[in-house]
Amino acid sequence: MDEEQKNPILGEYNEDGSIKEKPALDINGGAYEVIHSLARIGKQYFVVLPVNFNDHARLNELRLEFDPDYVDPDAKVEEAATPAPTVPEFRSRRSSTSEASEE
Amino acid sequence: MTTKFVPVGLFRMTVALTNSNGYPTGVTATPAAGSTNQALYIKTVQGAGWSQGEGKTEPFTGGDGQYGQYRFPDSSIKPFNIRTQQHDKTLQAMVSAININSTRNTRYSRTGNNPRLPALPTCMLILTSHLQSQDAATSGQNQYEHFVFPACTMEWQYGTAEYQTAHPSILRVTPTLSAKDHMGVAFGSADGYQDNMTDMFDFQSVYPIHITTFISDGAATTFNTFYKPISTVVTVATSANDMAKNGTLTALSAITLAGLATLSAAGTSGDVHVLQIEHNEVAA
Repeated sequence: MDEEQKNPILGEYNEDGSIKEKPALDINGGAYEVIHSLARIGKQYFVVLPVNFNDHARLNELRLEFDPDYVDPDAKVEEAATPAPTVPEFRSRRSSTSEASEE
Repeated sequence: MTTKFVPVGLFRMTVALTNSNGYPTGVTATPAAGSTNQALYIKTVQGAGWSQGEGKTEPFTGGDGQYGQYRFPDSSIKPFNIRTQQHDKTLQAMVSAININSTRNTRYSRTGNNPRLPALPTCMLILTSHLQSQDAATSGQNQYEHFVFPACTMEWQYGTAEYQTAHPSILRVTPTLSAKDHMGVAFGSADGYQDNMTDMFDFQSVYPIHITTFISDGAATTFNTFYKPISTVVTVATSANDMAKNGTLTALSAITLAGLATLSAAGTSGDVHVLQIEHNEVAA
């Protein structure tokens, strides 16, 4: 990430996992005094979390945006829970409708 | 290991919320996978006056005399107050289950009373005192004693404002029985508590302690401690870097003096790694 484009809520790790640079703001864009809690955004970045933070969907969004290796666990669940409609069923409904209109 | 000592004054308190399994999770009860969560410490604690139950003695009487008596034990820790001069908004927010609102106007950080809260969050509390060892090998050495309340609730109470008088805040602590220690490790026969439960225990260390909880995301194998540890030894159950994974004592793979801890494996997403280190007050 370029110096000019630096996202103020993203901190950076060194390659060994130690903290290279702390972000200017926490994940909500608020100021912070001490880092009590932080969450990884891939291997390179992290965000500072405020007390009682439980907006896991927001973290998910950031990981999808900044971590190329991240797989959305919610998307996996949705895929498994909602089977895609099968093509033959769809076609049969359309054909019966068109037959009715023709009559 | 110190077995005879003189406690000499309250030093600090350390607090962490605990999750439904009794594992400490820092300042958030439901931390996200891939997060590192530090216990909160307060150095400006002025007093913590806990007391134990008084029990009851029932005499056996009849005719004109005593025939003996039966003692019902009660050593449970009663609700007590901690008095602190420092108004720490993070502490207030975590024990009151509220947020610090600094987004409405970034010039201000707003916290408040939460009287409609139906149930207080459960915490782990450690009150640390200085001590001076009286053991032959370490006689005169200044160390630390940790009074641990592994499961309790804490209520934040604003201090009363008075003219030209400091008004410390009050934390009302209500301890309860716990089957696990402050790192989520179950008590057992080595402790000897009835039904393997207690509401308070203490231990001593040469240096102050701090607790960090890392929630695995199934990929990362490193996390950072809040303070720099005093040792790089990671041997399970014998070293100053004491770790439990999901309540089971587990050795780290390594830890640096800069505070970079490395797990032996990334584990499964949601695994709770609780690391207690001894440190020398130097931030990592």
